[in-house]
Amino acid sequence: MLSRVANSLFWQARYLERGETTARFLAVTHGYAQELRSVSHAAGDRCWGVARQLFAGAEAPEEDGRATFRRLALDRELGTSMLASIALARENARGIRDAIPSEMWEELNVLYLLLLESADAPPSEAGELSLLERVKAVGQSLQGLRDSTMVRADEWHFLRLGQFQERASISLRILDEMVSHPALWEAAEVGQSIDTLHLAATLRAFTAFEAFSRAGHSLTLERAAEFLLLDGRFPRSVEFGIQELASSLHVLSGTPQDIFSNDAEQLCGRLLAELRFASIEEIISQGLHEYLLRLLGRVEQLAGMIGQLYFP
Amino acid sequence: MTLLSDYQPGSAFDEVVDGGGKVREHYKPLVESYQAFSAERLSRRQKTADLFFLNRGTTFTVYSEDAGIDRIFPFDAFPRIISTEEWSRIERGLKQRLQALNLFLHDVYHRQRILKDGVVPVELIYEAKHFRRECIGLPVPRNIYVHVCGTDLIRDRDGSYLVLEDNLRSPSGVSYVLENRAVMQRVFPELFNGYDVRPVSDYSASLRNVLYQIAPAAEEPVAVLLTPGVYNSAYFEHTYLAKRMGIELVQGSDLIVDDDTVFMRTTRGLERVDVIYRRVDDDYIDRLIFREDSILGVPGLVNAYRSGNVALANALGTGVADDKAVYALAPRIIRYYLNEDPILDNVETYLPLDDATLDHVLTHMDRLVVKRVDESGGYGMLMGPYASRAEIDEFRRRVAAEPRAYIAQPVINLSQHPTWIDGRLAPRHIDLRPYILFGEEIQVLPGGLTRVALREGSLVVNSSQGGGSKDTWVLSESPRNRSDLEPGTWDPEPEC
Repeated sequence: MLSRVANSLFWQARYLERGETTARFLAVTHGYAQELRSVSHAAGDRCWGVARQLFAGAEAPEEDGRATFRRLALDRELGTSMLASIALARENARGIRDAIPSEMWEELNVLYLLLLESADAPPSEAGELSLLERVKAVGQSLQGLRDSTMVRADEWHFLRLGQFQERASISLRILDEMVSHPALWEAAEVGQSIDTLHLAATLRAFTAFEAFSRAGHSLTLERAAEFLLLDGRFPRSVEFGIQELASSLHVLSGTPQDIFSNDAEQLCGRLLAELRFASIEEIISQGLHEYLLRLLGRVEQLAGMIGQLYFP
Repeated sequence: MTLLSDYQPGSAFDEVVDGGGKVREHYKPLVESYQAFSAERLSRRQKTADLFFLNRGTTFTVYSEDAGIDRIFPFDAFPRIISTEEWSRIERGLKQRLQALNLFLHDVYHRQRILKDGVVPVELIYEAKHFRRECIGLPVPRNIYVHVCGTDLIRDRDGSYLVLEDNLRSPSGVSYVLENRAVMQRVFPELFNGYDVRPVSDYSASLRNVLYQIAPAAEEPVAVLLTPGVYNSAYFEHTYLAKRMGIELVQGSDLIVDDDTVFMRTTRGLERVDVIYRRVDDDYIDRLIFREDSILGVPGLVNAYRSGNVALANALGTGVADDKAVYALAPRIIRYYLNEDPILDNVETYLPLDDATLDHVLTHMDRLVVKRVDESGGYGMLMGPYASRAEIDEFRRRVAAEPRAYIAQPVINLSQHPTWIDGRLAPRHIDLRPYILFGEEIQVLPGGLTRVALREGSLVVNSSQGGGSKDTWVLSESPRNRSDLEPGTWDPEPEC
């Protein structure tokens, strides 16, 4: 396959995953911020502050929650808005229309046109909420198209690499923001505990709440963090993502999984071994925040190695 | 009849309504089917069709507009129908013409008999912008230069088909032929009742065959489509054809030439390329040989081509036969090589090479269409009757200074066709671009792109200048009327 095509496949999948995650996070934030207002208005506002921090960077201006919601969803000027991520996914797909199923391009294009139209329409909170649902649904449908219509050839693996690379990296960032969430101390200021609400919202940001509950876990920070980081059976956990990266990397190079033939495979294998043999208690006792940051740095390093290897 | 009761055919040849105001025979079932459409239903269907194009990204980018803004090519839902007899003449004419022009190209780049015999003036060839000295004496596979051709045809006042342009370099638009048909079948299925329309969907398979037929000897030859990139106005078409042919779509930067061999950069290293269906013009294809500022092409490609290590479709240098001055001599070229009269005539064309013709062109410019010989797509031309004094003076100056660079033609009133304008049928001018493939044999795609000038009275059909398009039906010799069904053939029960 052409290196340029591999590059576009990888980034198409990354941006789509980012757009979908943005949609999910905004939807969760919208509900959570509303709930928290009954505890303290400041706590509710903090939720939107975290969303800004995650999707608009540290220099994002202070503004009210409603404005943040609109901006993170549909701002054309903001390069990290949901609209921008979908536009970039589409732009990458447009350059490789011949390499992906037609329906995949069409779904992305239709979604993009809808978001553009909404960005020009007057703001409507209900309208924007239903757009979030739409983005999530298209994300699922594209994943379905990928898995049910594409040959398990290099194209498929590069889409997977992009998706799980992005998933691992954005999950770590969201998790990090959620464990040191300022709403927690706003609530403490007014003498209330919102731990249960907060953990539920955190799990929902990963569509993990139902799966977590079904697994019979009790709602504690240890169990939630363990589920999202270390449960290799849950598709949105970090460990699962690394597992998938390793498996696609090894299929691409034709090397068995117990050895490595390039530095991406080596780093990926190490990460996987560490996650598989880690315990959450150990991680928390050594400092969850530091652990997440360190892991994020290595996951990003892995992305650079994949790029060097296949599309320098 | 209500559908066409307000319809006012103009002075041009009307494709649907004859001189006596009657609907032509082959349009009757269509007009009848359309009678059943209410205005609302029609507008709903038209919206569905437009959305279909938009959603599929069947779009083009106009150079003068903001980059990144895609527009659909306006689609008119009243199809153009060509009868079996008409088509058979067109088909024969196109094959004859391509055969002759291909022999001409081979001759011009080899023995140059036609120049030595004085049938085509030598200076016309050597001064042509698209003549490529690099190609002299260069053998090409099967002696085919033009593998893909898109001839523009128009109909004059009495309905005869005339050739307006040959388009022998890198004609575009065929994807709209295929997409228009797909949309028509999906959105207006009822209109096909009563017709046996010849299919067009096998075009990409035929094109693919042509590409592999010209491949240099190799175990498993690899063909690619070379595009100028995502900002080219025909980018949609490039992805569409590459996908349907199952070949890689490449940009110049994906290819590299080493030891006179072309490779593409893949995730597993370099892979050899044997055939390039290139949608990049000669000028831009190799900056070592042609334009130095081009970043669209592949440095070293021409040497690889000259070494016979890679085949190009179309071959290099075909533009010389596309020159409008050479076009003017096409009837002579056909007679010279084939010893036949042209089946399709040219539009009457003045070549201002001698003083008398030049004088005629200069004095009658307000009644003529003047075109630069090396331009296409509606650029570099003057429509005398519609031009201002100043524009005419400007062209007069240019033609006098450089007569070789221009031709002039009388204004041809293109035929007209009922077209949906604001929910009603109104006459609009159309042309026809059939697509012809040349591999083991010459094949003409039944149909082609019918372009419509959507502005009232306008004769300019180019997509870059306000044109739209129609699905184009070529009718087969009605197999439905055959009475020779084989015994044992499944015969559906009447009530099914």
